[in-house]
Amino acid sequence: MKWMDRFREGERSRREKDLRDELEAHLRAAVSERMARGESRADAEASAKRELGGTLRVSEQVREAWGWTWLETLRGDFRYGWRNLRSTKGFTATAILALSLGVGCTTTMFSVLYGVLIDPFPYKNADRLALISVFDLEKQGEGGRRREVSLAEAREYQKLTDVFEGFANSAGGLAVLDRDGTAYQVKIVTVGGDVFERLGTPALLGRGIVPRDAEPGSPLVAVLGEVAWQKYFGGDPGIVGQTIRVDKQVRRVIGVVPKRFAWFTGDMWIPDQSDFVSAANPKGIRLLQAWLKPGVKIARVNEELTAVGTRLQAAYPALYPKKMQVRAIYSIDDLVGPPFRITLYTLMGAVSLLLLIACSNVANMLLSRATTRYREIGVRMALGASRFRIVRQLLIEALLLAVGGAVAGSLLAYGGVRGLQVGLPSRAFANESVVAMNLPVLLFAIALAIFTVLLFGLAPAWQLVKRDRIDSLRGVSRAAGDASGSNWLRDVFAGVQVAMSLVLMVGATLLMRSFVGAFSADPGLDPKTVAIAAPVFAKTDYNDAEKIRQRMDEAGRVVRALPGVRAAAQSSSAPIAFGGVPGEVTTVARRSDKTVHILATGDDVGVFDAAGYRMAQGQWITDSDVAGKRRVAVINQTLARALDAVGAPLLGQQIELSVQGKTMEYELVGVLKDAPNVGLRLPIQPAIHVPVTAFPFPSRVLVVRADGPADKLLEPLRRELGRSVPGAQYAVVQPLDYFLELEIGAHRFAMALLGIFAFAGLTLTLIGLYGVMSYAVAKRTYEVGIRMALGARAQQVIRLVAMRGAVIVAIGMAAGLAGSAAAWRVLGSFLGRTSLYDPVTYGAVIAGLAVTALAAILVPASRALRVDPAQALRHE
Amino acid sequence: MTQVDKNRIELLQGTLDMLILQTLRWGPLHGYAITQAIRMGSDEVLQVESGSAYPALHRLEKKGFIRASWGVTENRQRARFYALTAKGKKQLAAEQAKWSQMVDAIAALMGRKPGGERV
Repeated sequence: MKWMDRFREGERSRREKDLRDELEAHLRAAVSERMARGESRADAEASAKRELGGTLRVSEQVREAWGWTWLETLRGDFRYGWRNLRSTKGFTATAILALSLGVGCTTTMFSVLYGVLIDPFPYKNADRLALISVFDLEKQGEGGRRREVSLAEAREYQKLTDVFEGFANSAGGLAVLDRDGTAYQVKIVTVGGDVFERLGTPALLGRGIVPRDAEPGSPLVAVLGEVAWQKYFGGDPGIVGQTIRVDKQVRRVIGVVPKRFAWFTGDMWIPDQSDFVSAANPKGIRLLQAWLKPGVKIARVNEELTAVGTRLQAAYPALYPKKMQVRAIYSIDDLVGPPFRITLYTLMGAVSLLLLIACSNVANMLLSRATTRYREIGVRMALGASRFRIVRQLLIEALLLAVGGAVAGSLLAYGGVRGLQVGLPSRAFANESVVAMNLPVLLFAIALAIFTVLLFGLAPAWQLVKRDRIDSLRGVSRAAGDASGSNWLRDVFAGVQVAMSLVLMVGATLLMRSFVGAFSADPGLDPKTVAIAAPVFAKTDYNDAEKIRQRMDEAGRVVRALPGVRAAAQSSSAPIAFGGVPGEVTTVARRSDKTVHILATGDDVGVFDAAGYRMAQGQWITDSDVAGKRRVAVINQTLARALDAVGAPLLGQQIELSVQGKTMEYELVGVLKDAPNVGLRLPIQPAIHVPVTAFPFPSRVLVVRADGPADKLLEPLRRELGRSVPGAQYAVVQPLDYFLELEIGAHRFAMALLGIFAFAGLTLTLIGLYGVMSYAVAKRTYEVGIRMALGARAQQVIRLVAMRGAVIVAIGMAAGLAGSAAAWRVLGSFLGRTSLYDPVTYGAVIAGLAVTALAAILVPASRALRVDPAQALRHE
Repeated sequence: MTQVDKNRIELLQGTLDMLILQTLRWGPLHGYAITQAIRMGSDEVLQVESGSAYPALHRLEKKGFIRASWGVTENRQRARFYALTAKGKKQLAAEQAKWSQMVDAIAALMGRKPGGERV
C-alpha cells in the first residue's frame, strides 16, 4: 500500500500546486483588470481578494470537490486525534482501562448468557422445542409432574399436528457395551427415526439415524457420540460400518456425532424400532418432545394437550390424576433451572452496574478534558472550522477511545471467558451449551464500547461547540466552565459511581458471608471422602423390600472388604446432601400439640461412621435394633429443640412418625449433634433416623466412606458392585461432592463474579473521585491562593476543597444503601442463613468504601496546600 | 449598496454548472474569464462568486464534462484553461433541454411568457 500512498501524495501535491497557481492567476487577472479601470494597486488587490472570498476557503471547497478530501481530512482528524490521545497518556490509559473493564466484564457475562440461555443448543429450531408433561394440579412443582409418557399416550399426543410441527420421542437408559470381552456401562438413548433429521446436527463421521432405521425388522444400528468413540474405540476413523455388542445385541455403527450433540447426554443413540402403531399397552416409556409451530401460543398448545389428556384419563385412570393439566415446557426452561437463571440475570444486572460506573467514569474524563480544550476549539472555530468538523474531530477521538476499549475489553473478555469455563457450575445448564468468545459475543463487545463512548462522548462535544467562540478566545473558560453546568454533571457522575460501587460491594459481601456461613456448618467429615452408590435393581425385585435389604447387606460386605474403605452401610438417602423422606413427628405425650415437619431416614448401624455422625445424647441404632426391626428413633438437635418446646424430657419418650401415609410409634433413644442434612448452604432441617428395617423406605443407597478422597474408590466400587452383587450391576456411583456441588456451584460462581465486579467497580470509582477532586483543586488554585495569602490555615483549606468530595460520597453512599436493600432481594435463597440486612456486611462495606473514598479525596485535596499564593495569583 | 447588488439573484441550485458549460461552448476559457463572462452576459444580474466558481469547475472536471490545461492568456499570463469535452457537450444539451422545459413550466404557472408580456 505504500506505493499507493506515495502515488497519491505525488498526485495530491501536483493538484495542490495547480490550485495555488490557478487562484494566483485569477487574482492577477482580476487585479490587472481593476487597475486598467483606474483603481490603485492596493485597492485592486484588496477588492480582488475580497471578491474571491479568501484563498483558504476556496481551496478547501475545491478540495472537497475533488472528493477524496473527505477521506483525507478524516485521515487528518484520525491522525490528530491519535496524536492528542498519545500526548495525554494518563488520560488515555485511564479511559481505556475503565472502558475495557466495563466492556470486558459485561462481555464475559454476556458470553455466559448467550451460551446458556440464548443459544444453548446445536439443534434446529431449538427455541420452539418443548417437553410434554402431565401435571397433577394437587401437587406442587416438579413433584406433581410426570415427564415420561407411554408409547400409547405418545401416539395420541402426536396427532396434534395443528399446533406441533414435529415430535421427538426419546428414552435414555443404561446399557452394557461389550468391547473385547470388557464390559463398559454406557448411556444409550433410544430415539424416534426422524429425531436426528429434525435436530439437524451434521454427523462427524458417517450419518445419523434416518426413519428407515426405525422400521421394525431393519438391521440393528447405532450412532456413537464423539466422546464415547474416543474413549471406547480410540477414535478409530474406520469405525463406521464396524459392529459392536450392546446389551448382547450386535449393532452396526452408522456414524459418529460431534461432542456438542448431547441429546439426552447419551454415549450412543439407537433407533426406536418398537411398533408404534400396534403398541396399545402403556409400556415403552418415552420422553415426548415436540416443536411448536411458529407463532402458536403456548396457552393454546396446553389447552389442546389437556383435551387429549382428558380423553386418555378414561383409558388410563392410574396414569392421570383427577385434577391434571398436560403442558408443553420449553426445553431451555427445563434445562436451565430457575436458580441458575436468576444467578445469571443477577450477575448480568450487576455487571451492568459496573458498566455504568465505567461509562460515567469515561464521561467524567471526557467532560474534564473538554473544558481544558475549550480554548483550542475556540481558536479552531475562529479560524473557520465548521461545527461539523469540530464535532467530528471530537467524536473521532471518542471513537479511537472506543476502539481501544473494545480491543482491550475483548482481550479481557477472552481471558474472562476462559477463566469462566473452569468456574462455571457443573450441571446447572444444558450439556450442549458452549460458553465461548464467538462472533455474536464479539460483536456485542464492539457495539457496546462504541455505543457507550459515543453516547457519553457526544454530550461534551456538543457542549463545546455550542459555546460562544468569542468567549473562549477571551479566556473566560475558567469561569464559564464552572457556570455552564458541566461541573454539577461531573459531581452527579461521581456520586452515581459511589452508589453503584456500594451496591456491588454489598451484594458481593452478602454472598461471601453466606458462603462462608455455609462452610462454617461442620458436616462432621470431609464430603470428598464419601461416595454414594445407588444400585439399580431389576424391576421384579423392587417390591420385595427384604430381598433388596439383603442384597444391600451383601453389597455392604463386599465394599467393606475393599482396600481404602473405612465404612460402608445402607441408608434410605444420601446423608448431608439429602435429608430423607418428608414426614411429620408428634410426641405421643402431647398429641394435641402442633406437629413438626421432619425428614426421615432409615439407616443401618454403619451409617453412623460412614456419614460422620456424632451423638449429643443417648445412643445410635444397634445391630439388634436392625435385626429385630425395633421401633427406635434417633433425632437431631434441631428436632430435639423443636420437641423440647413442647415439653417433657426427651429420651425414652414415644413419638409418632407419619411418613408417606403410614403412621407408627417409635421410642426415642438418642439425639445426634446437628450437622447439615439438606446440603451445606440451607438451614439444618429437623430429622429423624430409624432402623432401616423398621420402615418400608422406597429407596436404598450405599454410603461409603473412604480413608482418602473418594474419587479413587469410584472405579473399584463400580466394578466390585457389578461383579458380586446380582442385580446391582448398574450401580450409579458418585462422590457426595457431586451432589453438594450442585447447590454450591452456582453460589460460588455468583460470589466470585460479584466479588470481581465489586472490586473493579470500587477501583473505577476511586479513580473517578480522585479525578473529580484533582480537577476541582486545580480549578480553585486561584481562590486557594487568595485565601492562603489572606491567612487561611491548612485545615481550613483542606476542609474547603475536601467538603465537596465528602458531600458527593455521602450522598452516593446513601443512595447506594437504599439501592442495595432493594436490589439484593433477588439473591433470596442464596443468602441461606445470612440476613439481607446483615449488619456486619453493611458495616464493613460502608467502612471500606468510606475509608478508601476519603483517601481518594484527601490526596488531591492536600495538593491545594502546596499552592504558592504568589504563583497562583500571578498565574491568573 | 448599489443598484446592481440589489438586482443580484442567487443562482438556483445546479444552474451554475450549466452556465459554466454554456460559457465554454465557443471555446476554452480560464477561471477568471468564465466568472466575468457570466457576469457580463447576464448584465451583472448573475454575479458568480469566484468562491463558488472554482469548486464548480473542479467538480465538472472530475465528472469529465470539461478538461483543464495550462495556457497563456491574452495578457501573456499563465492560466488554467477549461474546455468542453464531448461528454460535456452532451451534458450541456441535456441540461438546456431540461432548463427550457422547466422555464416553460414555471412560466405557465406564474402566468407569464418568458421575457414576454402578461397573457
